[in-house]
Amino acid sequence: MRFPFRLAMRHLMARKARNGLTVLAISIAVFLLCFLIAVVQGMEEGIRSASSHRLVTQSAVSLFVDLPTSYQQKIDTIDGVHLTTKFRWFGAYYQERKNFFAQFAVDHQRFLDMYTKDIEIIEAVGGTTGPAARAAVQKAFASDRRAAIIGVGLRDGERFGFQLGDTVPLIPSIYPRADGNAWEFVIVGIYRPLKARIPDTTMYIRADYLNEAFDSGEALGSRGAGVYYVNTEESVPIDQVAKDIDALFANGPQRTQTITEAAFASFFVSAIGNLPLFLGTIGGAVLFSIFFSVVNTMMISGRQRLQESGILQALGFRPFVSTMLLIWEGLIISLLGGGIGILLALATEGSLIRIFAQNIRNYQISVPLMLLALGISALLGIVAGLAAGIPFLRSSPTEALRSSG
Amino acid sequence: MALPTGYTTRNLMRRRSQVLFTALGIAFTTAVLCGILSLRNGFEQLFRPLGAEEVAVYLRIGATSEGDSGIPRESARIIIKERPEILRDELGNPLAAAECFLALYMEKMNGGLVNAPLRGIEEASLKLHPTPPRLLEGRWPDWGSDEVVVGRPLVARLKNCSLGDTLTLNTTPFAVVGVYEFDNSQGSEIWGPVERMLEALDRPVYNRVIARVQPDLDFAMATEQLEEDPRLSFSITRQSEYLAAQTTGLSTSLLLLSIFLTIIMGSAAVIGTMNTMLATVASRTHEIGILLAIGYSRIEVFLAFLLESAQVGLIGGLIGLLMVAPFHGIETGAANFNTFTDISFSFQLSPTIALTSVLLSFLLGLIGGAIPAWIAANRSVVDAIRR
Repeated sequence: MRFPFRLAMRHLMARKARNGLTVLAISIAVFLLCFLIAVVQGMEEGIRSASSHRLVTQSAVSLFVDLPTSYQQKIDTIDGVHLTTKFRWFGAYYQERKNFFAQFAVDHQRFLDMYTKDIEIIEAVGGTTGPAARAAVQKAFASDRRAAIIGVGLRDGERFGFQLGDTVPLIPSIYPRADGNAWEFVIVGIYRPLKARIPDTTMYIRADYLNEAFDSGEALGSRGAGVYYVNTEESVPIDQVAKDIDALFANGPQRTQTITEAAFASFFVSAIGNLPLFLGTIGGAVLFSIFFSVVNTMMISGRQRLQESGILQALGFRPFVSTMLLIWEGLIISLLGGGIGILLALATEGSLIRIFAQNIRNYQISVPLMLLALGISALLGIVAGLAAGIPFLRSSPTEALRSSG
Repeated sequence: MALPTGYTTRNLMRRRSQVLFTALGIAFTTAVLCGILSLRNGFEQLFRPLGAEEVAVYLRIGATSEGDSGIPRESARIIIKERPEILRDELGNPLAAAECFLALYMEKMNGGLVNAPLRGIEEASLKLHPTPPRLLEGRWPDWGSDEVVVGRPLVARLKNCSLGDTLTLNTTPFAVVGVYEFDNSQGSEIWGPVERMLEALDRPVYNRVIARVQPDLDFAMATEQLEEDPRLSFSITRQSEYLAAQTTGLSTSLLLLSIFLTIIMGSAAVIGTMNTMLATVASRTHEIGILLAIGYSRIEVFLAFLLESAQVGLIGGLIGLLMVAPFHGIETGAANFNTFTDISFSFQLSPTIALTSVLLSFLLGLIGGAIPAWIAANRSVVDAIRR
């Protein structure tokens, strides 16, 4: 006999409250699952977007130990090195400590050439936009030692709102000025990141400004480079370049450790702790708890359906049909819940990005993620229906008919 | 008439598997809340050492953590020798030490790099804390030699950190001569003589001065005095306050995460409970009619079903606790956002956390049971009995 689809739909509609609640529970769980997976994927996205022809040369001792500025010339001469620039963490803040954003001191003549594929200059001081903006910013960056390039997030963000031409005072927490005042920087360009790894709230300032200020006693600190970003030639194996750089400084004064940009980025992620595992455990717990809830609901349905199973069998349906009915029911409920959960995740995408800001980077509910969530929901429904429907296979029609539900 | 409590309990016993499944939904919610709070507790405990009120930390003005701070050698000696608030030991030596601090790249046992905290210390560093660090193995470093001691949690987690190993700082080898235990955030660090470390790392300045001070010290006044001294530009903070400021990042994140997850998982668990209770009420309509007919009031029927649901919640809470309990004491590491170094801490399940979690599970049961119980209590007697 044919599978009784209409009966299946009647079942669903007969228990509106119960099935509605189950759908709601599943949608909440699927939403949470999407959120957790998107957070983890966002972190990995940043690592994946690293350039495959870029190395980071850092101190082998510590992230917080500067490299001498004299290293740059030596690295430049190594075979396979295309372009280098200093990258130094500046660590100041705007007005209050909570208004924190990253600032890096870089070589102003080289930085924009290194980051051609990483950032797009959208506007230069004077109003230049479009392809000409990059050259205009390059020029402006060189003309004033206090010049700074900022991400579009610092222009549009509520807390900052820096505009082109603005002079922005930053209060130092690492490099105090001798006069006790704030450092001042002039915004000459605005960029938009082209790679997931780069936040849109970074400020790039001139390394020579800092180093000269340290030399002259204008500020407290010592001349240095933080790390060097090294673009390599495509013709030379990148591992070889890394080895050559480290070999050059093996005997000091500062030993170096040169790693790919991807490895550098992944160190920052892993340094926070094993977040993927942590979030994965939570996601697993959520799934389990929902799974039990759905199985339970299906089992309640199943118990009440035993008599009906007897009737169906008496009518000539095989016992398996009753099980299939429950599986079908579970599938529809969970897919419905999963669908709503995904819609919920999509609808909240924008506001979650706003709320969590820099804490979740590259947060995106992607199509593969939606499919995964839908697949998990489907599996959930099938397993729950199966678990609830197994007793039907074991009971004889007479037994089933006799049960009171 | 008294509340039919025996009735509800016997009902639960009859539908064991169903109750268990519902309870498991609540159990997982409780377990996640309890687990995250325990992690947070373990982390925070490290930053609340005994006697931290009597210890003061001197940093450069404007610096928030010792990583940011820098104290020139001469200034540090002036503080240690001249500041009146610093206590002295029985020999008259000041209970104060200049220390340096650096996040050191170290290899983990299971591969990968981690930022391990390296601290250059002086002899006084070992004496000035009200609950001083204890030596577990080996000996303390010789103050003129290239030697280090490591915190106990590091021995199992990091390479080159066992007694007898050699740890190379830049180009200088240091011998690991001891393992120490210290019940606070400094318990998972690498310690060595500060002067030897500054030389090995080619660093010009200390990061902080730490001292045991008079218990009744007026910190506001001491800060003012320090500011007036033209030779010094330092701030003085109670260690307890300094440490509290260090925990905010991770601690707040974990708290927010636990609230966020509890709300979401909790609502799913409530729905599960509601479903079960709705089914229970539906299948026991006849019984409800009888209860009402023999004189139980609607309030009593309501409470009976509410109680039943709350009992399921409690069972779930207890199962959740049992799931988390084995993790108690297990050590893990995470970055302290403020210094960006890895510190080891353990799951610390406390009575407060356990009670909070069980209370939550009870509450979830109550909320989930409220509507079904209300439906049960409002059945018409005649209709209910007829079914």
